This record gives sequence, structure tokens and C-alpha cells, in this order.
Amino acid sequence: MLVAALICVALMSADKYLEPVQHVRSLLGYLITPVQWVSGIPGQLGVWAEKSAVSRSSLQEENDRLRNESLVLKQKVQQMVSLRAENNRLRELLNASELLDDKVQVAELIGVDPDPYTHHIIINKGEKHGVFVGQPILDAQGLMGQVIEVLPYTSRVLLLADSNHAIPVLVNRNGIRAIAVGAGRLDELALIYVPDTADIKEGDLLVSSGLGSRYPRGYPVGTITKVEHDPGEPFAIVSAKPSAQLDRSRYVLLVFSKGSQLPEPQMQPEVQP
Amino acid sequence: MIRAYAVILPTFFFALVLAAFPMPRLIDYIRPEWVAMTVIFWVLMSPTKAGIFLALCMGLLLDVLHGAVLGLNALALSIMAYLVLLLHSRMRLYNPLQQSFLVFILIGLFLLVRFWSESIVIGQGKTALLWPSVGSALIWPLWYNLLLAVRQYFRD
Repeated sequence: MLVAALICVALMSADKYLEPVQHVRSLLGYLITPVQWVSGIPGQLGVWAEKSAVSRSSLQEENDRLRNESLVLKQKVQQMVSLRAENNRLRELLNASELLDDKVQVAELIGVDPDPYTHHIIINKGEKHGVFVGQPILDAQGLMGQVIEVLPYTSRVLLLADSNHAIPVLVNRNGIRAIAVGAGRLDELALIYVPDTADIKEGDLLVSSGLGSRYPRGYPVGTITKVEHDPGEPFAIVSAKPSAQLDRSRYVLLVFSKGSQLPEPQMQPEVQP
Repeated sequence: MIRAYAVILPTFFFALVLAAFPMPRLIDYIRPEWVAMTVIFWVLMSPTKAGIFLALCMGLLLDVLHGAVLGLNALALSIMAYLVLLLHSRMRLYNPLQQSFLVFILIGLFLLVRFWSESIVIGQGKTALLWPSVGSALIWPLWYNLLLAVRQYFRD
């Protein structure tokens, strides 16, 4: 018993303070991956049944709708090219750095953490696919969260709505910066340290500001739902609704962007006179 | 010996799947501790084969599954297995109601130890102690009989 307790205490302190324990975790990850796959099977069966039981006419309808959507998007992309070029030229004139395209990879959600007090999801891409800790995750509507743990074939994502999560944002309308923290509920974010005089209104779009070098800038985070000024409080009480469908999205995008990894500090070679 | 583990390990696999299985939020609050209950069962049934170190290994797997600090569930589970080892000869004689009550206490202790060590290591722990123990105690007779049937079936 004492030996077991000592092993556990040693492991816990090692996990907190040392790096190599990651290898132990990733080894155990090989054992735990089948468990995650099996527990995801009923959900996937549901999706498969839904897919294979659709009628021909509704498929046709969906096909038409998607075709139209694709046309509209193609038209927008045509404009995008010239707009992007123009934007980059203007940024060059301002001596600002060029905006880069982010590479993405699609991943599938295979599990939700059963703990009701946290908001974690499990996705089916891991170390072997190049996922790294801190990588941002998107869905079609906006930012979802970041990777906090990488196993060989799966990884764990911390959602924006978790109460341990905060993200630097700015109001798209006027560029006011703020910090959005999760409120612990899937449909709410809270903006903290917002002065009472700040120009923030209901319906404003929040986008990621890219400060903190964790998330790429410019992705939608949420829309303001409530602004309250309480004379007894030092700051305004502002809440927002996440843009991403945190409880519905089945497919998510992993972003491989230049901004999401901290740049390595570069040593300047000393110049001999 | 090896045959015994060929039965024990699949039941743990099943318990781990149940521990990771997505459920409606409301049920999540009383989600039974499947792995801990399975540890109790096997220590109760064959204390020579299943003991503290089996509990330790399963705890490590549970840690990775839940993304907790490595060793957290392992510590709590091995302490609980030690208690069951002390109690097992008495616990076998209990009727189902008494057993359920003891399971309630054991799971509660397991969660309490986990909460303590988590608050020491991370600084904040999960305070859900009561409802998961109640859920475990309620489901215990069913789980016990299911595992017992599995054990009887594969014994000979």
C-alpha cells in the first residue's frame, strides 16, 4: 500500500514539474484510445443511420442548395483575391506585416468529457497528425477552443466556454480590446475588466485579437448579448454568446497558423569589426 | 492465473467505456464511478488476484482518459482497494442493502481522497462528492450481479 501511494505521489509531482512524463502519458494513450473509439460508436451509428435514411428528394434539395451556396461563395472568392492583394499593398504602405493564410485540417469530434463541471471535447487527430498543445480549433462559425492534451491518435480540446479559459478579443466595430472568459455554460462568455464608459453595445461582433500569440487574429468569437451598468460594480457586466456551435459541431478545423506558435527567440550573430 | 485476468481486464475495458460514455447533462451529475465499482467487485471476489496494484494500473488509465494529473485517480483507487482488502471477508457476508451502503461510503472516500490530492496538486478540485456516490450505491446491486454472472460463466 505504501509503495503504491509513494508511486502515485511521485507520479503526480513529476507530472506537475517534469517534462518526460508526457511519454508515459502518451504510452498509456495507446491503451486508452480504443476506449475512446468504442464509447464514440453509438453516436457515430446515430449519424450513419441519419445519413442512410434520408430520402432521395431531400438529398436532391440539399444538393441544389449546396450548389447555389457554392456559386455565391465562388463569386465572393473572386472579389477576395483582388481585395486581399489590395489590402496587402495598403499594409505594405503602412509598413505593417503581411497577413498570411492559415492552413487547416479537418478533425472529427469523437467524444465529450463526461465531467459536468468542465467543457472538454475529444477529437480524432493526435500527435501522429501533427497536433500540438495550444493549437486553436475552429468550426464553420467561429473559434471553438484550444488543444490542451495530445495523445498518439486523439487529443483533448478545452472549449471557449470552460470557466478555466480566457481569450483576448476585440470589438469588430471599433477595435475596443477585452478579455472573454468562459462562464461555465456552453452558451455564454463573460467580458471582464470592461470600463463603464466603453462603447460596447448589444449585437456587437467580437473577433479574436491575436494578442497573447495563442489564437490567430480575426476569427469570430461571439456576439454581445447583454451590457449592464451596475453603479455598485467597478466594471460593466458584459456577456456574449459564442459564435461557434460548441454543443453541435461534429467536424472541427485544426488551424496551423504562423501566429499560434510562439516565435523562437533568435540570436543575432555578433559582427566582427 | 492468466485466465483470470482474461476475464478481469475486459470488464475493466467495459467500465472505462462506460466512464467515457456521453450522457445527458442531468445524468452526468450522478454518473456512477464504474471503474471504482469494478475494482471493489474484483477485490471482493478474488483478493489474491486483484489488489492494490491492479487498482493502481486502472487508476492510471482513468487519469489519461479524464485528462487528470497522472496518479490522481491511481492514488485514490489504490487507497480504496486497500480498504476493501481489509473489509472483504466481512463485506461478502452483507446483504445487498448493507453492501450498497458500504459502496456508498467507499466511493465517497475515493472521491474525497481524489478531491484532497487534486486540491493539493492543482489548487482546485472537483467538489462533486455526494451525488456520484449515491449513483454508484444505487447501481451497485445491478453491476454486482452482472459481474457475478460474467465471472460464473467464465469460471469453468
